[in-house]
Amino acid sequence: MPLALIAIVVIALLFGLSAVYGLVWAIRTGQFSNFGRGAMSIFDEDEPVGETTDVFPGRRELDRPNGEQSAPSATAEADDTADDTPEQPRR
Amino acid sequence: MMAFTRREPSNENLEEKLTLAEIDRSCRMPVIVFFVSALFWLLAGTVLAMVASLKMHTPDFLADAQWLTFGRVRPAHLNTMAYGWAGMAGIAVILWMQARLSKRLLPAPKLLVGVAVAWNLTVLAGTISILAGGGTSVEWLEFPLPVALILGGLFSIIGALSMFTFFARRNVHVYVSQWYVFGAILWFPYLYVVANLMIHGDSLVETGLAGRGSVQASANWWFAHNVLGLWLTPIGVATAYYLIPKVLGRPIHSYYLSILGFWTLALFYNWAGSHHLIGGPIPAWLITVGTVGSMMMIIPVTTVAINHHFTTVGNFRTVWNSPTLRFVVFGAMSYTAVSFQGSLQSLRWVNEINHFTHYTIAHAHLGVYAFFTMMMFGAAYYVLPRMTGIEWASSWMIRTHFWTSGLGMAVYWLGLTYGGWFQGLKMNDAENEFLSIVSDTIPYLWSRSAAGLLMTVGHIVFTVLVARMLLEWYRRTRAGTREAAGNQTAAEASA
Repeated sequence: MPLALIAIVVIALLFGLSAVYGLVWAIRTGQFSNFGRGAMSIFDEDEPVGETTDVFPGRRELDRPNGEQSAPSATAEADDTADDTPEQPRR
Repeated sequence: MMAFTRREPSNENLEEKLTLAEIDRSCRMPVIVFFVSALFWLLAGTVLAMVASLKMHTPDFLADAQWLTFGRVRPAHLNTMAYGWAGMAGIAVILWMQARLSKRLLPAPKLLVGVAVAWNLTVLAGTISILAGGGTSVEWLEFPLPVALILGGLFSIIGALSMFTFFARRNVHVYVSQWYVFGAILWFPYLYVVANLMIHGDSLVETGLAGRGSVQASANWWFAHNVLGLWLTPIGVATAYYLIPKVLGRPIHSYYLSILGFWTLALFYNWAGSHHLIGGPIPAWLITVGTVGSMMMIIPVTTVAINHHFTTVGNFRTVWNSPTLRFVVFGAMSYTAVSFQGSLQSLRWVNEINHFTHYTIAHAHLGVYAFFTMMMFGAAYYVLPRMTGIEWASSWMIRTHFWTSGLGMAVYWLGLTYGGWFQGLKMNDAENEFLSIVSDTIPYLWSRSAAGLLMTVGHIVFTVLVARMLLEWYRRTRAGTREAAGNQTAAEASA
């Protein structure tokens, strides 16, 4: 019995402490200091805010993968400029 | 370009940010292999489900086939769906989302493909042993112990690689989906191994690490509920929190609530499992704790519901025009529904009616199908074109998939919920003859088979769509390599 008890207590403590550690870490590193910026963090130059990224096939060209495919296997810079070709955000 | 070679060191040196397309490309093989394997298990699980469903109202069906008796087909269905379909699709999404959000290339893609192959073989071995009569009869954990331990080991490898991606992340802010995915991958391998050892570890009984009797039942439902709560739910919710804003191109309504939702889920969900044992021979306080945990889950569920509703409201056309969002929003709405329903079912007075009836089966499918499976379909519609660079072949097939799966689920849920509730009311009244209660459920069981047929059609259509995409990919890859080879010889000739 003691072995089981020790194992259970130790493991429970580890999982519990990992959550506490995560929470303290998040607060101290400012993860929760600016929620507006947090929500925006998934958007970047590749996929900017205000641009929809999925439609039924044929409605509009799904530009990214095809663009990537047709582009010569070049450097990241070249890909970046290719990605910047405007895409009209429309309703 | 198809002969793309991954050069992680060069990216390390550049220390500049990777484009999403580059990250997607690094995920290509593992994610495709995991998704396609998942699809295989979805079809296998569908066949097993149909056999089980037909047997419920037509018991003579395949009655002379020993391997296909109800007691074997039903757990085989559950385990292929849980560890084959849901597990592998979930892992594909975890790997892709964690790499994208961490702005890192996926590490060790070859190892991951190997893990996927091993995973398939393990699930196959487990399924065969269930069908051969070697299942353990412990719900959600029917695979024999050796099979389960191998699966746990494979889970740990995936968990370690996903955590490596997370800890090597280049993003400053940890997005809410990353929290969820990290939680899932941290908690689940441990849960799975410990539950298996506690319940099936015969040689551990003397040390007290494995239990017997009602302790096994408690461990069983602690685990079975956490499969949903700490594995499928975080993956599904993370998918919604990533794909809804991503496809709409607008940030989620309240980021604050999303973070609150994650931490309350982490705090409460683990307690909820014992509500499955209401009326069972375990201490009453343990069940009360489960009920309290289940009711507290209303907090995270409400945060998710508010967020998904207010992010999509006013953008209905965009949702409807996106294959991904049709499925994802359907899944998100089902998540709200199934979670509130689940909280209610943990109340003793509700549970004493719905327990041991078809109502519970409807609830389980609302969770794993209407929520999780639809969410994974949505993710596949988003991810696979980005892995292969190929557009989906047909809009009407996607629509067919959506409507057959969606309507099938609706029929399934309505029939069994209604039939099951009255089944429960009748069973609680001792005046009713048991057999008449059983025969009263038969029309609803037929409705379940009809619903299953609709969903099967959806799965076949989806498989055809994926197959067409992969064939086109294969064709282009071959053409690409031939072209590249041609260019090379031309270059050599000119040189």
